[in-house]
Amino acid sequence: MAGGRGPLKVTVVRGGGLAGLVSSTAVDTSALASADAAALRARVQRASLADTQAGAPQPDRELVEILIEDDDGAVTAMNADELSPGVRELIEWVESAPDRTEQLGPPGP
Amino acid sequence: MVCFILPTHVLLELAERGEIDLREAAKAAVASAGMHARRAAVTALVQSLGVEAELMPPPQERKVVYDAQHGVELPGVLRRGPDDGPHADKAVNDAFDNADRTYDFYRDVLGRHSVDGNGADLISTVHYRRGFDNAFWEGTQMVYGDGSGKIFKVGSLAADTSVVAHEITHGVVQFTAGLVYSKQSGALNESWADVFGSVIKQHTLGQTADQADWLLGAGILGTQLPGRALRSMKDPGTAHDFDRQPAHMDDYVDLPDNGDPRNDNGGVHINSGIPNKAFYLVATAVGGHSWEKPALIWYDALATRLQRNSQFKDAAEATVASAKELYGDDEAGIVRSAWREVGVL
Repeated sequence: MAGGRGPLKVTVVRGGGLAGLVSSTAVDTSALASADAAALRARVQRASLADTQAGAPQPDRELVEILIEDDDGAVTAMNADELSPGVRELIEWVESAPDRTEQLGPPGP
Repeated sequence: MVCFILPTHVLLELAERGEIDLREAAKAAVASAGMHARRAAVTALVQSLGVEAELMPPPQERKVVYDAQHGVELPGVLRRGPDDGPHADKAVNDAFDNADRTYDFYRDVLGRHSVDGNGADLISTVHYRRGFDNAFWEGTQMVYGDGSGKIFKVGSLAADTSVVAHEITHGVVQFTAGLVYSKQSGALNESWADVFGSVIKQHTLGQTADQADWLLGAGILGTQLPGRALRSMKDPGTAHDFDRQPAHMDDYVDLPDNGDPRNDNGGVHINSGIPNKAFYLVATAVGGHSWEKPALIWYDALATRLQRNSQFKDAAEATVASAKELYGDDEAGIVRSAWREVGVL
């Protein structure tokens, strides 16, 4: 997925952690300059989210979810704090992208 | 020597039955005896078995700080060893000095040498990732991000005594009750870390229970998290704009533990407000320094009564029993009243 030309949205959700809060960062190719959109698509393709898996919980360690949405549907990778370099690179790109949106709030529904 | 992680009475039984070497068992039992009083009692017990109890010298205090250099590899590059003086990097010294205060508290007040009770190195890594808004206990060491300025002020995590003591106490919990990091047992794990985070800060400042602010991470919040601290043990739910901690079982937040980052391992950082408030009530009712009777009761319950899957009610009963055994009916009554006030008993 994420190889097409349609809009692509990537959301990184962090929770747990010392504060126990939930922070969410999202980028959408429709709001990005074309060079940034291409950079995001390339990172999503390199990220191989299928490799992510949950480890044993550690006190105050963050839990991370990556949500990727495009024309083909949505893919979610959970519990991805200890990740392959490709996934980490994707997360770092999203969390420092120029036109990202950020939200912070308490846990729960 | 052999490393045993069995309770003392089990060790002694095995030794009596000849299933393990008596001398090794005796040494391990003495070394792992937590409080001064218990250490003396175990020594007497070992000697009564007819073993020539060769008391081990107390373990040496060792603290080391590494630098992840903004990467993710642990522990990173060694910056300050146990015998080194201050480093040029403030974050290194902050992590070192707060680990020092915490080690000294556990040794001098509770008779415990390091997280494992046997002098394990206290290992810290600073500068984990870039602008990372978290600190955590990784199972063998503490890890500190620098903070982005948005959730935590830059450089504030390793510099805050209550945060560092909180993380090290997660290590103590791992080597004692081993409270499972999920739902109520996880909230107890969090609460015990908050209790000793606050108590060790009070000890450092020489404050009484009435003088203390009862805050975790006071003044460390960044620009996107308006508030005065991470958590308030005195008034759970009031520390910052997104603080949803309850102070009573009527307001317990039942979240699933399903790996979803939105659910915080089943609300471990939310519902810890209830046992946190119970400790605050005990400390203020007893009066004086919280590191005297209140902390000794809480530590005794953790080290000798709580178990992996203990729930809030178990913690209430454990602390009441510890209070009664250590001090008597008056103190047990104060502890029971506190747990009643927060709706656990």
